[in-house]
Amino acid sequence: MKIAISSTGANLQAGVDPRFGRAAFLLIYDTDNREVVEVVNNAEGQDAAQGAGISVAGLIAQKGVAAILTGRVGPKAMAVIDKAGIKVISGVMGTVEEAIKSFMTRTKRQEPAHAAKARAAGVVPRSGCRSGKGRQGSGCGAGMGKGQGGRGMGRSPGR
Amino acid sequence: MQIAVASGKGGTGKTTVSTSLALCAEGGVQFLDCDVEEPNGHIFLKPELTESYRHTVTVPRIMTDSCTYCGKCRNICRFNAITMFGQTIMSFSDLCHSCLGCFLVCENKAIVRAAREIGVVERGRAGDIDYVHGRIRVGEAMAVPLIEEVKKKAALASLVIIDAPPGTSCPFVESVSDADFVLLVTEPTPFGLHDLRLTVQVLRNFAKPCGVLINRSDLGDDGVEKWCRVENIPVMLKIPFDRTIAEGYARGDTLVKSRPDLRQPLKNLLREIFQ
Repeated sequence: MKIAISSTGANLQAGVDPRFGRAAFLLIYDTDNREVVEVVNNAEGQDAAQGAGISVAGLIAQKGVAAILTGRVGPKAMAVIDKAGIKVISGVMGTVEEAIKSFMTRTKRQEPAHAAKARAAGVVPRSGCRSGKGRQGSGCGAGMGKGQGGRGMGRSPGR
Repeated sequence: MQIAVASGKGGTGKTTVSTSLALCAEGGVQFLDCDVEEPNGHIFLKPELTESYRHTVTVPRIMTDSCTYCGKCRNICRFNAITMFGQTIMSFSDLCHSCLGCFLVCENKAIVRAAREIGVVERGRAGDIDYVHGRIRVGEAMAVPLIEEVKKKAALASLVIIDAPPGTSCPFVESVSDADFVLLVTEPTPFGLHDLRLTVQVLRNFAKPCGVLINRSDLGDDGVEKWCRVENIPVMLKIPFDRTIAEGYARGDTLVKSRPDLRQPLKNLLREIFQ
């Protein structure tokens, strides 16, 4: 499975960029081979006057990823991602490497046998993050509102 | 003759000055409130609005039956209003600037015209004044096409007074672009001066003649006046701070109603601009 992570740098040690459309880079990671398969430099998105999220969402959807790990996705980009049937994990923090590890652990934890066992033992499983393709919505993660990032959230033509 | 009343900084008195200038003009005068994001000239001039219509702009609607997913429309769009992946294409009409580029590049006529309402234009009479304003639709980001529509009402023969929006961005530029003279209302404060400088910088790109009116002139400092002297921009009128004016404003009274003695200086100002 391929996943995309918004990143402040071009490698796994870089931090997760809390912004999706205006992230510095997007790393495409193959969870089966455990390697970065593509580094998308998003200079264009960072400089876009508007609609950066929409543009990046289209680009990522074209690459056939199953999930996006990022800080926050705006409503317009989310419409594109929803249509593409990509799962979004928002509120992700830390380094890209940590985010991938956490995602893969959580994905594994969703195995039915494990879940059933946990339920039987009276353990409340952590919020579910099903990895099935086609499931839409924001997925799990710490939710919205975390770290919008200090730098330019788009350029307002306003007053 | 078209006179635009503008300012970099908001709240300096553009509407206070422009409405009273319109009331001091002799003969037919037109008042265009181009601050479509918050038109307020009508509060003071109290026109009877008799004409009202919605203004729309053209946006693309993509017919997926005839689309070949070539991506040309997406690529030409500078505003990211169209995105595409695989056999899915999406357009976001609220991001569209109506440049019509996508219509031009589509070889399969898969893009048809759709309309997005951006606001209403209203018109009416206030005594001798022909009053027009635009009111932008709540949530709409593009003011310029609505301002263009308001400006289309400008009569060639008579005196036209334009109440421009604050700031120095596109809505301001559009509002003053056809003006023969720009009257800059400012206040004698560092903020007022800062934004005045920005505005003058923009206007110099168009080589627009302009003059300054200092409102609440007895407050603040002398920075604006000093700067105007250095830059050779005429300070055409000063209106001192006066509680009577503020009280009148709060009631919806015009400057010349609160202070009839200012009628003559405003008339003189108009005469000076005409010369």
